[in-house]
Amino acid sequence: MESIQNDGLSAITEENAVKRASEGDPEAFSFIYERYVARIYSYIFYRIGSEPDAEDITSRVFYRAFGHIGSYVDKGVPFSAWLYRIAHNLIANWHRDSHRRREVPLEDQLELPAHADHPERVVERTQEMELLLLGIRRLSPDRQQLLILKFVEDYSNAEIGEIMGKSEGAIKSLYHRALIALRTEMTKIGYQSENENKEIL
Amino acid sequence: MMDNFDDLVYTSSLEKKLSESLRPLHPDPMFIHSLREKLSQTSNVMVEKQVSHPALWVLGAGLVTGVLLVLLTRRFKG
Repeated sequence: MESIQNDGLSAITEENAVKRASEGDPEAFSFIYERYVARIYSYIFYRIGSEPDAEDITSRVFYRAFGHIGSYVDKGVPFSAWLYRIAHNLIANWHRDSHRRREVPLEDQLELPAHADHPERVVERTQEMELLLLGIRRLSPDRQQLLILKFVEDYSNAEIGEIMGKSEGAIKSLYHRALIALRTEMTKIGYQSENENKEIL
Repeated sequence: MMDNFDDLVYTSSLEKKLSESLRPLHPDPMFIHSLREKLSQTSNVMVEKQVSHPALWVLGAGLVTGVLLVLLTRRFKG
């Protein structure tokens, strides 16, 4: 497990950082924050597609985590599962909030953050990429979560199972259904795979 | 049978596309810094609040004990 030095005296691991943060140690919470802020932001952005709202929800996730970490109970699952669960719930609230739901042009919905440090980002912003993101956002929340954790965060099926509270077998099955559903959604919005394009030609 | 094969090919191409397209994004460093600052300010407030909690409990327990003692003393005298 990764560790950092705390004042050059003792190493902090995620496990003891969580314990210490739950006992009110702000430095330990800071360690957790540094470790997860980008991942949580990334996850939220891929789910909602708006940079300001992703920042807003990320802030809420960490405020809520900070406020409730004292009552966090370690049930043997990764601490990240707790953070993703908070994010998942806040995203659901965001979708339910009728005031924030508005008609946004497709190109605005799919814009990646301007400061994302991917030099190749301009190249990636093809129509195909946009359709892919749109297709993902049309899936059910658990399927979206699975695809983002798998492809963005590069978690294994076992790790995703721990985060989502499902068995590895259930994740494999969900993954298969997610790909089929994504294919259906992509077809609906006009995406054609390279193979289909070849057939047409 | 051919449909199943096509499905497999399509699914593989979709997986390839997903792994090529989806990658971690980095939030604005200013945002990370600003949120860190806000959380650290919140933590100072919370630490102060936590310090006052045990004192309140001791005070409350002392009051309850005192009232009980007075009531018990009166009952025994009566």
